[in-house]
Amino acid sequence: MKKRIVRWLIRWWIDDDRPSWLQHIVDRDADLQEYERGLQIMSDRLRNEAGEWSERIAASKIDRTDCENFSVLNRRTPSPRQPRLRPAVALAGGLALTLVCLGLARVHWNGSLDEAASKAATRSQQVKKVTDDDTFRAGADSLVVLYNASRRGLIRSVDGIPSMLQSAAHLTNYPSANVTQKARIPFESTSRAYGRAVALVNRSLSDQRKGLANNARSVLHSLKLRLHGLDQDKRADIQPGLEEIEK
Amino acid sequence: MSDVETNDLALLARAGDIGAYSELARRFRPRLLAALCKRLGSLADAEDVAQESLTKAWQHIATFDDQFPFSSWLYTIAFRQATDCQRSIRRRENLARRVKPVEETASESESSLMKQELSNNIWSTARKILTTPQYLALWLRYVEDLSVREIARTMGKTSVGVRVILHRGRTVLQRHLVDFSDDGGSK
Repeated sequence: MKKRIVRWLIRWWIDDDRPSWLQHIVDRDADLQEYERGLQIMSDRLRNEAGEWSERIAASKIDRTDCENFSVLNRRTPSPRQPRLRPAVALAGGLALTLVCLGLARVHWNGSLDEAASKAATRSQQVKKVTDDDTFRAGADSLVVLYNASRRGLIRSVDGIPSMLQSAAHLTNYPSANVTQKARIPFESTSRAYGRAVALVNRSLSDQRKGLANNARSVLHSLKLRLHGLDQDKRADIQPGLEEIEK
Repeated sequence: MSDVETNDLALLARAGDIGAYSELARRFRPRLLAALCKRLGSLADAEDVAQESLTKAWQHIATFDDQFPFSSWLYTIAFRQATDCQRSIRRRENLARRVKPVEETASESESSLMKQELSNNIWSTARKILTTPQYLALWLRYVEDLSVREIARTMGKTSVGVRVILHRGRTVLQRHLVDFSDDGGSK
């Protein structure tokens, strides 16, 4: 029993500075030293084998079905017997919380408004480092994703994408022969637009192409907004493609 | 560039050096994937979230505070993105469930999973037998070398909570490794 407790304590402090009295106990007992060595080996393995493990995942050498199985395990399905919060209780709770938040906000607001404004101004200046070119590349990347989706038969209804892609590839110096590979985009040429396009593709998978044209149009519309801040020349080049898709 | 410390690279990136950030992204992408794969369950989703997180981190690199490790900051972003992703996955699954009932139950998949031969890599074992918080806490502790306090901030838990999670994770993993080596020895 005593050893079990000491083992528990060893595990608790395995990677931290342990108390001297615990060290003293361990030093006097060969079994505990052996146990500690086992834990240390496990810690070393956790450190040393992480690189190989992450490389394996990045290179997709692990079994994808295995991963999918875990998705079933990880995601909890709601129990049908799960009790629901009564509406009146929820309403009262929500009201009370709102009042508390409003009170706090009022107290906080007066003091920190100027500070927040100056911080926001500084931050916006810093964020402007993402240049127009980056924005434009992000647009092109989104188109690449859409193009790939169209090749996979997910968004066939958007016929104008290839021509859009050609002009985008031209403008961003992407070799058009490599456009399909650009779905695995290196970081520096991506932005939130990529995420939106990926979300579109994911939605497409579950929606079975229902309403895909509308989804694609909404993404492209957002791209159009992004492109709005670009140079006149670039915008003029890409405008016809956008109009073609929006028809 | 590969010898430069992570936080130095982050400082360069904060000053606008996109090359430095590319190097950071190259270093962290596989590690993010390995952590997110457990959390999200699907490699495809993990890839999307890792990509989104790196993008978001770049967009907000100006707000990075170099008093803290870059990895802690990046993982915080990634875990928030993962939460958003899980919400959308749940919506998708609800939609799919309406169309087609799920045939496989969790216990069936679990049993089939446990029958599979365990890989030699300890993280493969960890992914299979630990809960998601245990896996992530161990990952941040041993791979990213974050302190308990930093892990707590990254995961949105208390320091004591993280200590308990780490302790339980170690216990489960160690017990499993001992059992598994005993089985191997008896064979």
